[in-house]
Amino acid sequence: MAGTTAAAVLSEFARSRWLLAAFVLMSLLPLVYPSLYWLTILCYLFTMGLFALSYDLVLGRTGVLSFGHAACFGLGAYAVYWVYLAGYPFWLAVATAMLLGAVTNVAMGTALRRVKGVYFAMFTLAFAEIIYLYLEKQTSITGGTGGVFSPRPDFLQNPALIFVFIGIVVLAAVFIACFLVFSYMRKGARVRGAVGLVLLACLVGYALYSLDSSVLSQLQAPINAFTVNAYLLSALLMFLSYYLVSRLSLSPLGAIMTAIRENGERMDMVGYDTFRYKLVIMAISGLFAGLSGAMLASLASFILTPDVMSATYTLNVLLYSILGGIGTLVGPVIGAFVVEFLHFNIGNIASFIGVPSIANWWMLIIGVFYVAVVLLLPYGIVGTAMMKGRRTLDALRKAVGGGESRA
Amino acid sequence: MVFENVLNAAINGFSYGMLLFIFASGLSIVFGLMDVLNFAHGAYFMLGAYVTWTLFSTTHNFVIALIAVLAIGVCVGAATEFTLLRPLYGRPVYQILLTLGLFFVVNQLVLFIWGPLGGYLGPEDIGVPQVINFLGADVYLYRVILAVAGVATAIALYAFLNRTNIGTKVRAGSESRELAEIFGINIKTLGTAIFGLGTGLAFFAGGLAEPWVGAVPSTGTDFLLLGFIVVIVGGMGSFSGTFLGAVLIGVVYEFSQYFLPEITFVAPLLIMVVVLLVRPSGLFGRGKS
Amino acid sequence: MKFNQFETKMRERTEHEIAILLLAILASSAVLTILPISPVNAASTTKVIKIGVVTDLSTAYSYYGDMEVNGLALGLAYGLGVTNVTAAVKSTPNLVNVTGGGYTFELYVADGASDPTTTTEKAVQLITQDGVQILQGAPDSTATTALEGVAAQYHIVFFAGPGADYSITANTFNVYTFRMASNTYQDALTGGAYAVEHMGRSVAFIAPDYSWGYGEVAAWTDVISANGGRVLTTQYAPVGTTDFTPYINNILASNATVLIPAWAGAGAIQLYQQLYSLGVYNKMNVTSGVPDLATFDSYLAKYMPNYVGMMKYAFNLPNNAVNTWMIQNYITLFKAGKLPEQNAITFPLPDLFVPDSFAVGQAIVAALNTTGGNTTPANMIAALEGMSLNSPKGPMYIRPQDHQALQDMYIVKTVYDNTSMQSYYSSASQFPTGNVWAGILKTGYIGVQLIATLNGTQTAPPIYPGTAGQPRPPVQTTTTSTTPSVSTATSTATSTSTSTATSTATSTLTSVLTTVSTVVQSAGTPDYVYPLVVVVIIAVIAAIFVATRRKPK
Repeated sequence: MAGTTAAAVLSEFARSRWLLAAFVLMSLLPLVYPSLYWLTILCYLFTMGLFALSYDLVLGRTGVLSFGHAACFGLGAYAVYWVYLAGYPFWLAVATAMLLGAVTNVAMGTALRRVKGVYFAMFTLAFAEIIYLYLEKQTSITGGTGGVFSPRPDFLQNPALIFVFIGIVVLAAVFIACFLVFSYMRKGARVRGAVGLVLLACLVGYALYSLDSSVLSQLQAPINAFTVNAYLLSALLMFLSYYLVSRLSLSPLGAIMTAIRENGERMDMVGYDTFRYKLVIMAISGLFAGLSGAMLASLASFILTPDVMSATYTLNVLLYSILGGIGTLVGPVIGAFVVEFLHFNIGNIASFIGVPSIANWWMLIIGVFYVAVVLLLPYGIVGTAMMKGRRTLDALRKAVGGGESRA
Repeated sequence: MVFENVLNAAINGFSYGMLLFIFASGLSIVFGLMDVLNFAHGAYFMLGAYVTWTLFSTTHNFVIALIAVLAIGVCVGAATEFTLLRPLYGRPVYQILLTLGLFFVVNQLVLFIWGPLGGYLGPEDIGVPQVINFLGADVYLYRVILAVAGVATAIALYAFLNRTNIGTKVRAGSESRELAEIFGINIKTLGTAIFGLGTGLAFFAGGLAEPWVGAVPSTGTDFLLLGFIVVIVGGMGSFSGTFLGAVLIGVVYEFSQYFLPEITFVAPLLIMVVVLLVRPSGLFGRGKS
Repeated sequence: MKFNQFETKMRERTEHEIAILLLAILASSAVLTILPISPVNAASTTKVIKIGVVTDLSTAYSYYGDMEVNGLALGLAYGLGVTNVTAAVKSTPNLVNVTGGGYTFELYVADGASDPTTTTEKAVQLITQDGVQILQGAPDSTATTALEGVAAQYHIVFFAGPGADYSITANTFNVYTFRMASNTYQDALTGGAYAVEHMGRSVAFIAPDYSWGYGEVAAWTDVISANGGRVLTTQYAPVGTTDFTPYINNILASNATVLIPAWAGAGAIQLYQQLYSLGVYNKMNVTSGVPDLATFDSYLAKYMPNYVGMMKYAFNLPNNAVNTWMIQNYITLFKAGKLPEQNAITFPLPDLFVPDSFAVGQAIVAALNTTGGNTTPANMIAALEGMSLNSPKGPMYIRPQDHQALQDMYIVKTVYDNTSMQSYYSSASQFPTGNVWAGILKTGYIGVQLIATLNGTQTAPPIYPGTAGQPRPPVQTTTTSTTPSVSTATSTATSTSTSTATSTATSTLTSVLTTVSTVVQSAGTPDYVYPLVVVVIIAVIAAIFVATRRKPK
């Protein structure tokens, strides 16, 4: 009945209220604080965050170490280039990218029957490297080492599109407002509800007020319209995907994934076909990796080089994951944000703390990061934060410790 | 002409294989005993090449430089294991990630210390004539010497593993760590020593490779990948497997450089993929699980 | 059951954490933008012009990056008529100030690491965050091509170089791109013509198997054929090859009289070493471009004996006052250790790419003098097109069709040089401590001797069709200069939208929202009304929900 479905939908929104709040916050950013620089960077951060999220599905949730994830990512990026420039609509290009990512990951996953653990990791590394080396040679379709100019979709150049996004954000804000009203109505949470409502109103109000100030005309100038629209679209896609992935991990499939990570052999003996489930997870993870690749190609980059398929990006996403905390879905996203944020601003930060030359030694910093995280923060930022007095202690230790590499 | 190319390809292939063997044996021994896939090995190889260049520039004696670089490598490796890897004992995935970070750090340090121009020693700098005429074809003499050095190292390693006490302990530990510990073998100190030996071999290989490949910033990555391929194709933890695998990869690499250059870098990768699918324990391995 | 509850709790807390961390990023981003990036220039009475240089400071090409920055600073100083170069050029890492003649040039130097992706990111940062008005870069041709795209997107004048690919002023050309550095076609016109005339008519090539290699071979082949020569074989070796023997054997078997190796970067040492040891120099004439003196003397010289080839520049080749000025002031800064990018391997005299960026500096100052300090791209483009100037390499002319500077090119022979360095430096103590070249005062080095000079017309590359026809932006007569991140274009909400289904939806939503805002705006109400309006709307919706909820049991 309409009533129960409405109630179900509303309760779903209520449960994800923090996610919605974050989405509203990040999306109103261009209006409150319009800086082209930050919009460009944040767009890239969202893309890498989604990439890291897809990797966490495989590594953190299911316990499969894969060194070939960049192949799905890169092929997704190039898929958009090939399909969109062939004249097909943008949504088809993105769908192709996701499909291609899924197919690639499944292709790699089929080897899981024969090889496991570190051997599988080396297999995926070789697989991705072969694809990379082969495609790098095909200068006509990938542009060789110089790459191609990224296929930016035309419809995002439309300055009026910003209102569509703002409309979606306002809707989300409305739902949050309803929830806050409900909590106000509950006897124990009046203060929280009231304060929340006022804050929300001020934020949304100020943002909408900016609609008729000079900020808007600035944002709508042709040079800037694309950046703003791309940012809003990437925020939408990332939050939506995060929601889907976290729902997935709460479903029975998610429970099976966790169980496979804990003790795959026992799952086999109990009767689950772990190989098939792993393939399913590889497919889903590949979908999102392909999506993030599509986002990179169309929204967040200027130049698309075959480098996106190489081991460089796999190593980056590995760093995001271990820094953030593998297994926690939000950890790798945070890890991606932190690392890439640092990457973009290392010049400013280095000058600020008085050691400007380290800005040229980014790879050194990455290496030190790796070593430091592994030695000092093995469960990652989010993992360590969640570990205080939690039962996850055991689960996480299993994931990063002994058995998996020799399984 | 074709004969000259085939002869050169064969000699180069075998000697490149020997270079790979010296490099990969370090990887293999370390993995066999400690389950650690040492990504820093490639960076240590490059570091060894640079250090050899510096040592040679000061001492003007290549043999001394090589011996010294081997000793330095052992010390560096032991120090690395003791300070960085020991705390992660029992968590091999994290040990692998640590070596990965180390790879980046050492790579950048080399660039920082020696600058971007690199250092190159030609064979004539170390007193070896470039080319000699053998069976009517021009052959690079240094590579023949390299091949001989490789075989000598192989024999020495074989003797070490099979005829000495320490070697026996290493082989026991590779077979089964728990049983070895039960028998009183101190796996931890053995691990430090073996990691030192492995790194020393990497340094040594780098030094030997200096007059051929040169000390340039990209050698670390290339060699690392080839080393992994050799170890996997040959079979991890298997000495004869590593030897034969190295020869195979070296020969394939050189022959494709000579006759089918487009597949030079892809061929070894393809071999590894096929081996992993068909015989995951390696062509000559004993099936370590 | 317990597991699910636990997971739910974990997820709630997790989402809490997302929100908090995102807020943290937001806050830190706001904080960081107000952090000072560089010391504020106290001399604010001069006109400040910001130039972004995206070059290579960390990979194997960093030596070229150093030359690029040093040349630009010196060129700007020369154009400004500076007499005390040590006072005028002040460098901190990543920022160089050149002051004089009423201008202060701020050079923002960024490291693109010869990677197209990093290069474009850095360029976009320089444009949007630091507000640079002119762009320059990069040593690597693929990175330079990437920067062309950035220049076109953000409408900013871009000086390409040292990246030498001909395509940069050919197929990937756009009206914002200018190049003072010589390109591969000019190299080919110099070296190829000389080779056919003096060395032999049958030619063999060896080149790396990717776009740069193909471009080189194509250009040189064109020139050779036009001069009556024949190409007998072209050997492409994969990038990363260390053993060139099979290719060399094929070349020897072709019986060509001239070999032209087109190889830069890793592998060059092995290539020349193997050419040397296989006796190719005794059987064929080998010619190509002579690299920069530093690289040459570091390890290539002994494998390229008595080499005759084409060279873009060496300090002792031109003979003009500008070159003299450049050398003198380079030396002044070098001795004091005050060259903007100076380290242990910096050569004591200006090397291969320094005059190119020097000319860029000259061109910028000359253009600004014409536009009266206006950096609007349209005005700068109009000022630069057809400009002639006297550079250290002699006269240069910026061709209006494809913005390539025509210039002198040289044919040289490598010789042992024990005299020219001594005319500039009297003792090794004048070299900064740690500089690796201090010893050459005593030992000499391998330098070059001029054999022939070809002028700009003789070495003019073909004009690629379509370059001249691209429309230049109309010159503006306003005196304000604009930067791309703060666009004052007063565009209305409607624009040329694509014919998709969303266009009708967006236009209706647009009209609704703009109507609302215009209504409220026209009422002349003060600012705080808006939050109140929003609160009222939300309260109404909430009231509806409350009224329709199911009664609890």
